[in-house]
Amino acid sequence: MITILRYACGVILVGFALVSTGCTSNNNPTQEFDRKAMLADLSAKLIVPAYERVDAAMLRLQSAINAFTQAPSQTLLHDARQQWDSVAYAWMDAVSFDFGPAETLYGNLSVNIGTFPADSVGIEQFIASGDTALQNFERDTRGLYGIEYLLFAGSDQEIVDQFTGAGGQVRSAYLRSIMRRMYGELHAVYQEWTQSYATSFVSRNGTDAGSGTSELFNAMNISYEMIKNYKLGLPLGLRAGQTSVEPTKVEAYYSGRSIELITRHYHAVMNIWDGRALDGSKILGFKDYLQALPSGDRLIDETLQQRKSVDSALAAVPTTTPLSDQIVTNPQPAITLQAELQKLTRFLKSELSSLTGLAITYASGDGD
Amino acid sequence: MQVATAISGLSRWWKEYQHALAPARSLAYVRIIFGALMVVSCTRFIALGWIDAQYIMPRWHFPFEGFEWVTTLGNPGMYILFGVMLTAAVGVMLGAWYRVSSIVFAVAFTYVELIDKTYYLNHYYFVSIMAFVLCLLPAHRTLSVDAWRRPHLKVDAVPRWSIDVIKIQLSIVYIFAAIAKMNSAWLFDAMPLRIWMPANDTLPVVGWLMTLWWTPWVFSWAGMLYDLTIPFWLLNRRTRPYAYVAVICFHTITGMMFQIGVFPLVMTGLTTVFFFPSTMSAEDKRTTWVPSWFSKNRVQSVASSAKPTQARIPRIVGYVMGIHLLLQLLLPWRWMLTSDDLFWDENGYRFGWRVMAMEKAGTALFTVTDRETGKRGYVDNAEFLNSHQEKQMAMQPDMILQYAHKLHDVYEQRGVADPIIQAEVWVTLNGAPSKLLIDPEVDLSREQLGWERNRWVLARR
Repeated sequence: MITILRYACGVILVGFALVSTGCTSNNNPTQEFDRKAMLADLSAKLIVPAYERVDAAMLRLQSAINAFTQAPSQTLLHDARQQWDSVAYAWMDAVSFDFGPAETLYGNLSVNIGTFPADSVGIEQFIASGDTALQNFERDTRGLYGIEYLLFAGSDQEIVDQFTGAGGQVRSAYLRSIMRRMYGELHAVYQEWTQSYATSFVSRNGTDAGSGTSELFNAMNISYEMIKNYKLGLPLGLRAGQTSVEPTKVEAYYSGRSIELITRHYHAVMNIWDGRALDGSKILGFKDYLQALPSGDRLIDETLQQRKSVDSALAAVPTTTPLSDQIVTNPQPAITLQAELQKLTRFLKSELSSLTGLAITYASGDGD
Repeated sequence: MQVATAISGLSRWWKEYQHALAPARSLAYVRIIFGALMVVSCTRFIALGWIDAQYIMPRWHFPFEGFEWVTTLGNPGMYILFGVMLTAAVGVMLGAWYRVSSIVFAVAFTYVELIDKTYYLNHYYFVSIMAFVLCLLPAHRTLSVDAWRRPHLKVDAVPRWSIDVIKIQLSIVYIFAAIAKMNSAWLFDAMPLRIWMPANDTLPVVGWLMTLWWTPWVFSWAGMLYDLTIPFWLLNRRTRPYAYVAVICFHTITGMMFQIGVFPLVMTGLTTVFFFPSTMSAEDKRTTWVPSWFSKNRVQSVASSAKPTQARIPRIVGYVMGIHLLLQLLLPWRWMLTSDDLFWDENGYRFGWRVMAMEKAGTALFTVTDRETGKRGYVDNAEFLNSHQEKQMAMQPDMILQYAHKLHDVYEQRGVADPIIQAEVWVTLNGAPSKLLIDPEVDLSREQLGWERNRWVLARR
């Protein structure tokens, strides 16, 4: 009996010895996935270029705003608005990377510069009182959508008049001030990515909480929820407890760019999943990761299937009428879009994290 | 005839066993190790900022049924509670004011665990059990501040069963963990290890193993066999040292692979109990007799000059331990009365040592409908729950129901008339395609959690 016990114990121990010392044997690898390569691809060809593009666009917007506020005219206003458009579009490509350097002591970048809708009353109060110091946490009185309010809320001539003469001086200063703040915040994040964070991001190539992949996964999902819940759900009055639609709560209400921005934002999120560089070339992404996992192909098929439905729903939303008007006159296409986005959620969230074994919280799990 | 002999043999053994003694230091070692582990565990919890993240920041909690009165003490209440807990753990470790320290620790730790189901872990449950068991035992009668402070407390011996209870409890944990792995997914599909192993391919030393196709099968079987047999290897004197090496390897590897906190440390620390003598050895000269399971003479007489001083344990404590162990043997099986598909509906899942037994995740969408106007809207879970709470809730029916009831109340306050709460909950188990867990048509605000199968939980197939 003892001999058998010894023998069995020996077998178990040899098994564990093999495991713990890592003996050399014939490797018969499954399709191995190189997460490090994925993180390197995504940071070098998608994340950093996305920040770079917003950074450059913001500099152009800043010049346009300086030019306009020095000598307000309809032409210069149009220039500034055009530059605002390109910043807003470029921002959609970067907004999902709201982790690491974007998590600052004073809140996340996406909140600091991307809060909407703008609080027009608050902005007017600051201007009326001559307060351009921005020493407060009212992020809906500045950022991208604060600038949008100042550049788009009214007819061309009305806006030019608002900025002209002695009365326009504080308004000009306020606009320049929130522009400076926004650029400063964005530029700091961009710089940190290029200086050190990209290296650290790529080096954390595990699947634990705090790994690059886990950070990206969580940020991608939070960004996706933003489209569904705040860019569509809230203005459409689809949220629990809402009794009516709230068309003024759309993103980019004054410029009427809501649908273009939603489309761009959605595609930007899908680029992370697909593995698509900012220039459109193919890089490694979550799709490639899934391909290397058991049942991964099944999840890829299901995800792509539902994305087709999202794409048709997106195509069915008219682009000729601003979303805020559609919400009042013809909300059904936007409601359908929201529903199709909801159906996609589980494929991007629970199923993806479950198959990849990604940790999504820091807390301890069950032991063994 | 043989039966009668066996019975009389057994009853003789039992009579002797009840009075058998073990060195008091054995029990003291357990106390010291457990106390030290708890000091580490509490300090870690505080240092990681989890008091704030888990018990202060969240708006809502998921209390256990019948323990709804256990609520978070907020800030600074939770910090004070953890401070008291940590102090008590130090007291347990040192054996200082042991009765008070051990009871305070057991109550404080268990109170915290009862606040929110989200954070339920088998090893927290194990800690609570150990804490309550230890506060009933004379673990402070030697090698302690108390015994030094009040020398009359110091004893040489304690009843042997007081140490065996701990060994049996540890064995129960391992064996039930093995039973939880005895299913076709674990053994024949190597799930969930087939998901978890490749995710660990960046580990030092063992990382390369994780991507080999056969590794998940080897680990699945090795893990099951380890859990099933390790108590016996540890009980046997000859295999014990090798078995303990296996304990160290096993818990080190699982500790590296999974985010399981102090659990590996707790198990490697407490399994040393198998090394502590549970019989009074011959070298212990003051011992008058040594009961032995294996020797032909059931009682060995040893010459001695004085009787060992021994700690007496009230009879009632013995009964409590007996009932506790009996319950421990039965509780993990209760699902047979309440569930058709335990890993799916989890009705009877907790308190059964089902550690790391499945990979499960869900996405839950709740809708709130005004019963009068019919106006329907969906809930953003992030408004009420932290990400950990949402993750746990989205796959466990009892938490889904609790959440639905809370949503009903909060939206009623916000002016929705007697809200209808419905949930579309997609759950993936071990990498299978998501299926609906809850009947999406059912108004959860009108449902109650039953002991029996809940009709609002859909079958997996």
